[in-house]
Amino acid sequence: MNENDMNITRRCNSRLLWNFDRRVLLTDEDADARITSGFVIAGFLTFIMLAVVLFTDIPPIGPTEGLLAPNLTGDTHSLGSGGWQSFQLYDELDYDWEADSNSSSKWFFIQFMDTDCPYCWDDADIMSQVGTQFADKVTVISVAVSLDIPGHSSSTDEIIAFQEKTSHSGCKGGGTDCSTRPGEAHNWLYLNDLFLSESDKWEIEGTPFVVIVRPDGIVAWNQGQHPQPADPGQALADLVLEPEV
Amino acid sequence: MAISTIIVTLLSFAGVFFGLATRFDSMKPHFNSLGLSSLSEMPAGVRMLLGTLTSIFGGVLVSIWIWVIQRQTTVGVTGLCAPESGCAVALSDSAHNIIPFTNLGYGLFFILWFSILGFLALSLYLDPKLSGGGTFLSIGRLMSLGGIVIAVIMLVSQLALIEGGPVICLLCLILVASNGTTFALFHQMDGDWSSSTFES
Repeated sequence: MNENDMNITRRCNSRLLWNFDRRVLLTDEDADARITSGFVIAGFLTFIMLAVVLFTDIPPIGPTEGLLAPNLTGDTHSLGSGGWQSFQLYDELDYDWEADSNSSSKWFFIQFMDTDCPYCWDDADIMSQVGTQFADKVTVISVAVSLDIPGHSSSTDEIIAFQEKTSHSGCKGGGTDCSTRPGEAHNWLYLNDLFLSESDKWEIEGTPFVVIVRPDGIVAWNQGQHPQPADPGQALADLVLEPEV
Repeated sequence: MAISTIIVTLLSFAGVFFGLATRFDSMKPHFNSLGLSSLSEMPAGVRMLLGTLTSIFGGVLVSIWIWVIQRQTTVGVTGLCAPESGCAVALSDSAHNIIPFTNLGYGLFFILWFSILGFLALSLYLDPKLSGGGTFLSIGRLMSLGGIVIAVIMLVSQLALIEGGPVICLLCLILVASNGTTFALFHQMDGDWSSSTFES
């Protein structure tokens, strides 16, 4: 385009601008309103998104140490109870908890277990000790899963029998009476996750698998992040018990 | 209910109510008495476009608040609703606060929905003689009708499905009202598009 053509174009543009007010695009006389509107809406939307995301601070959620634990939901059974009650971990959290406070809020010791798993069977006694020793500082929750392994086939009746240490043939791989397991009857909640809908969120690597959660919901200790064999009971003691002066 | 939620509720209600008022010529004297005489002198179509924009603004405002509350309740608590209030109970159930068959929360969905409606209304407001104006009004009418349907689904799920229900959430009611008002205005303008309601 030579200088003369450019001058003609400029004259046309200025005439169009004058005649059609704010319509500056030569090819589409309606474009101005839509572009202006588009910019206004896009700007407004961007501002809203940024403001909401920045001012509603949600910590990242996951089973890794330092993150907010995934919400553990499902039906739970307590010792001596006839039925199952719905449970949500987030309902139990104390979001205002601080590490150096003398809060009475409890930590969470979450054990993923399988009634057919021989290691969980052996750990039942240690769990009894944990439940007794830390009763005033820790809420223990056993999440009963059914691993997709030959010979592992659990049921709600089997979970109850394992928890209450009552007679039911089917524990520890199928042929063992649940009443013969080590330890006492477990007087904490057993959560039914036989279909692994909750366990997947916690990225468990097998059973037994323990995650320790602070009263405010932050994961403090994840067994999968420590060299094996890790000792969850010792980890709990280190976290919960105040050092003696 | 937090002070900020009360302010948002009042502002959005005012926006929706003002939008509805622009639909009726009988409201002109009231506009004059409120010092909005320029509003009563506007062509009916432009006045209704302005009303549509304020109604959409009200809808966006409550949608933002619903989104914020839903985000806060993801981690269990919100400071924007009184504990055990309809607002807290209705918006804290994450299982029933998403559009069916999607994973999109109602708050975020309606922000995006009203943004499109806002684009349509603002384009027409800035240039009432827009060549595709009729199409814009038809799209706006259909979209706001869809918005009503989705907002009603939200209300029904809060009344019938939510644990601890039935509950009524004031913000959600305003959301339905905003969709309804926006639909009514788009419908009215769509019918009048070929006439001279947009010219002085």
